[in-house]
Order: sequence, then C-alpha cells, then structure tokens
Amino acid sequence: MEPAGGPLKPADLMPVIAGLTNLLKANYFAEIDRLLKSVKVSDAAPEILVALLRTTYPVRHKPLRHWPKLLRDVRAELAARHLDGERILRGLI
Amino acid sequence: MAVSRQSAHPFAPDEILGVAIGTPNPDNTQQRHVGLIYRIDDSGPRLCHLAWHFMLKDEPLPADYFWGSSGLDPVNKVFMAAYVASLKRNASDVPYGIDYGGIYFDDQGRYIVQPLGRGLTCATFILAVFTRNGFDLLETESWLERPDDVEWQQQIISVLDRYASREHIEAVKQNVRAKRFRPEEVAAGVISENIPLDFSAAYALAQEILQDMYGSSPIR
Repeated sequence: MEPAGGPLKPADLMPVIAGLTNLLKANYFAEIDRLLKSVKVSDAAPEILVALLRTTYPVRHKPLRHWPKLLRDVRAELAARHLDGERILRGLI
Repeated sequence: MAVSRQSAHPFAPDEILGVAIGTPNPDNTQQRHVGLIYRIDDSGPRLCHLAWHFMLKDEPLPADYFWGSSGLDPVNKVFMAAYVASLKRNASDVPYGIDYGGIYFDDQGRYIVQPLGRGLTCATFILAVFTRNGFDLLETESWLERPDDVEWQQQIISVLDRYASREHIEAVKQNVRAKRFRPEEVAAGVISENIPLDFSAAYALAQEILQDMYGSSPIR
C-alpha cells in the first residue's frame, strides 16, 4: 500500500475496493476490522486511505471497532502531510 | 462555462470524474438525462447512468453530451471514479421511481430492494451513489415542490406504463408530487466544490448549465 510515486489512478484502487467488497459480502467484519487496525497510515497513499474509509463507511457504526480510530489517524496524517483533511474526509468527520 | 459539449471540448485526458448531461430523445429536447463520467486508466471516458427501468448502463461517453468536471478534491475523484467503475457489476438491478429518500446501496455497493413503486431516476441515482460514500451533493430538505414537476412525473408514468408491471406503476402513482431533483440540479451538485448545495444555489448553477446547453433557445 505504499505510494510508488505520484498520485494513484482509479485502476489502482479497484482491487482494493473489490477486495473489501468481497469481505463485506462474506460478512467477514472481524477480518476487515483487523485490516483497518493494521494499516500504517504514515506509509499509505491518501487515495488508499480514503478507499478504506469510504468503502467501509456504511458499516462504520456496527462491527468495525477500528474504523473511528483509523479516521482519526488518517485525519492527523493528512494534516502532517499538509493536505486538506477537512475536504478529503468530507462527510466522514 | 459550467459544462462543455464533448464533441467540441472533449473530456480532458487528465480528468477522471465528472458529470454528463444531454438530451437523448431527439423528439423531446427538453427531456434531459444525466450520468456520471469516469476514467480508470488511459482509456477513454465512460458514462455510467441509469438509462431507464432496470437499465443501468456503462458505455463510452457520447459526443453529443455536455460534461462538467467533478468538484471533489483530487484524492476523492480517484476513489469515486474507481467506485463508479465497479457499479455495473454490483448494482445493475435498479428500478425507476420518482421519489427520493433513504438508503439505496448496501455496504457491498448493491442496490437495496425498495418497497414496490420506489426506485431512482437518472438524477437521484447519482445522489444515491454519492450518499453511499459519505457525500451529500444537495440539501434535499431545502427542495421546493414545483407544479411543472408534477406534469413531468405524470408524463414519465405514462411512458413507464409500457415497461413496468401494473403493480409498480400503481405504486409509483402514489408518489406524484414528490420533490423532484432535476438532472441539471444534480449535475450542479456534482460539479460544485461547495457541497451540499441548497435549493437556491443548485438552481442558480443549474441555470448556467442550461444556458450552456441551449444557449438562447427557450427552456421549459
């Protein structure tokens, strides 16, 4: 999930969205939660972080205990990178 | 300009998310249709749109449509383009309906079957897609009910009568006078950087879109 240089393209995110969607279809919420917990936000591209948060957004309140923490961590990380976290995370915070 | 005609000013190679609005029925150029444009790689732009009852389409962007760039930030444009690209696979069974409210896509991105008579228009389909991902394009509670929207709703029901079940039609009729989110108003929500738009802001930007589309021709 580390940025290889330059912003990612939509095609780069499709496997991430598809993988998460498959886990959601299978109701593997514990696995998704572990995935969210394991994300190294300092190493990940912002597009990946947004994909993780927004794809799992509809179930953020129920089975995903680490979703709110990931959101807080991403918000802090975006600020550290001098990115507009309020705009990037619009609707999530 | 709010929107540009694809045949004159093509969707730029560095654009990855936008909205397309056009008049697909040559017999009724006042009937507008709207969809989402996305580009996932170096290939051409595609149009994902709810064409009609149970008819979600994903096809190359037609040359005679007008397009506007998404007002989202670059990071979210990348995500939403990827999400829209996955819709055809995950959410193909969308019925047509004239009211709007609630949740339409589940956590897996699939369309949630609604009570009989409920569904989406080409415009509310876009609202629902963005809402699923945390974006409210419009302040829907600020919308006004307009008399000419009732006329449009009745026209749509008369056409839908040839395509949908009797039970669906009868249930849709119960929703006449529901608030209507017009294609150009939803297009305004997609291109604006300041979402959610209230009714007056969306209406004003929608007028610019119509001006770009029709020029000085009368708009009904």
